[in-house]
Amino acid sequence: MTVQIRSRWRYRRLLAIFWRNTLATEMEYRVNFWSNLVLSTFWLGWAALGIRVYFRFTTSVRGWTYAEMLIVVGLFFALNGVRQALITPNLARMTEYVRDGTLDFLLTKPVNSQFMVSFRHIGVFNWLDPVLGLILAFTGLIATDQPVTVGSIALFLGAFLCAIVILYAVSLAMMSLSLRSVSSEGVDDLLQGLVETSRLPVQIYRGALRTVFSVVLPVALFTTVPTQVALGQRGAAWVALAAGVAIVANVVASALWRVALRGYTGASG
Amino acid sequence: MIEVEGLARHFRVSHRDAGLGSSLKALLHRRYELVRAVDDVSFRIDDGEVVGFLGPNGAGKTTTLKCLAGLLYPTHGTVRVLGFTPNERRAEFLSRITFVMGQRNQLFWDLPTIESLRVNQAIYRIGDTQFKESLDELVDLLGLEPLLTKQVRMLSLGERMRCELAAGLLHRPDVLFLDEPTLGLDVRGQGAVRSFIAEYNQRHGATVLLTSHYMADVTSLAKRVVLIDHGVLRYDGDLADLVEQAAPFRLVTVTLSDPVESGVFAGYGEVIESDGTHAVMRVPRAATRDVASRLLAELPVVDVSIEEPSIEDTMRTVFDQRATDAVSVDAARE
Repeated sequence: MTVQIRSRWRYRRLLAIFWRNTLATEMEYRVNFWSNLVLSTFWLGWAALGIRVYFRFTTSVRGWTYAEMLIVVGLFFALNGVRQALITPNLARMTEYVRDGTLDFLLTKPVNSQFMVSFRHIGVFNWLDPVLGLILAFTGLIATDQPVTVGSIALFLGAFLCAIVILYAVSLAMMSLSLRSVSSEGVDDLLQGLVETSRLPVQIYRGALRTVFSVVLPVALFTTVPTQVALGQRGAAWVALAAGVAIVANVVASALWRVALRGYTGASG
Repeated sequence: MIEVEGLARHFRVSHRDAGLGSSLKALLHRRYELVRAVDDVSFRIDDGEVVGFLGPNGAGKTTTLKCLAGLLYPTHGTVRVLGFTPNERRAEFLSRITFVMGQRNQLFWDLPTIESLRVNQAIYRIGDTQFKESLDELVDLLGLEPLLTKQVRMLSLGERMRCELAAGLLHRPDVLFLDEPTLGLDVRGQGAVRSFIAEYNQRHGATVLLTSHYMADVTSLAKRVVLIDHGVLRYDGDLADLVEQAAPFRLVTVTLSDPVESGVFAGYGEVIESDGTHAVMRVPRAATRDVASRLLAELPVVDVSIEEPSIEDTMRTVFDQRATDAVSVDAARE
């Protein structure tokens, strides 16, 4: 038990060091902060105004009002921001890790290799997007005139946290596959594509596509379900389901990572 | 202690001819070849030994080191290092080894060196007192003082290699796997790395397994060498014996002020190349001094130098010899 606690403490400390280092590096490029702020605000405004077009002649699209749709868009923006801040900086480096032999170094350290490849870097300035996205989501929630309680907000944030954890599992699975192909550039595009499909509620899609996004791929759990939880349309059971999916997805992704390492042949030379 | 028994590591490598047509064909059907990077290699290294691991490029040295460090799963055979099976990659095992690769970088590129060392302090759970003690020792041995606060990308190759060694040895490992640690360094840089490795081995009794293309690295550090070629172990034993056996000669290079007839050089040794005013000859080890003084006395010498044959040459001699031996044994059997 003590060993576990010490080990957990060490990972927290490592995370703090890694992120502080990234911060120190990124601080050299201050102009990035301001350009990111301007760009993020622009894209968020664009997304919010974009869906306004659907509501010019109607108050509801497939059962979704404008205010409700804003929650989905805000969540999409926040989730995509988390992807850019937490996942992409690491996923995009996988190719480099394999090609230049950094992975060899990471694997000879007495630290969980999955941790090392997943959290060594963060996109410091991309943390604006999750903040702005959540602000938009809450603005939408207030505009719906739904009663907002501490409980409903906790469930909503819980569901959103599950969405992040599921997205991480998907990215780890993709990272494991990219170990083999030694190319992770396309993999990040694929992940972005997956997140993009959650820009609108799954009910907007028709037929087979809706089934795929609701049952096969976890798209519904990204933004639609957390929004429905916030609106009181779905209860705690759905958050529990999302948590279950998140756990299973992570167990599977971890196993895939270990299998990939077994077959890892390293950078030659 | 390192024990390797019948180690083999095979890779499946795909082949494709040049041209767009072949690329398209490769989409549907790929030709694979089984490469036996390491095949049935066995050896044993005792605690505190320094062993030079030699072989031409692609011989299987790095693959063997990677199997020992737990990066690669062996296809066959068993490997034990410090009583552990490396590919299980247990934390207790990984905390007691290090793998340093020349021209590969584990330091954070944009940050001062000390930050990377702090990361390793956290990774290896080194207490503050031990960290300071270990760091002081490394700073002293490697002359790191002015480098610690410099950004890694601002360091020269030699400086960076010294910092890499510090990062790799901060946790005082018992076993060192060093893959070409002097690659690309100038003579002074090579010397610094060499004397550091020797000193570390002396002070801490660490086991060192080192690969290098530079003869001087191996001669100054290792008494014992393991030679590997095409994944097969060719020689395991004393370095002096190997050089005596395989290359019982030295290379004498002479430059003259006036040209002489090319036949003249043959009187001093086996001529490898000559052009009237310049010649390179193979001279038996014992006769080198004698030949050099004769050259100076008898010819209009501007410059004369005596060199050890390169490690590549020595190895080539060994490998050619073994190949011939193998053929003659096969012929005798038939």
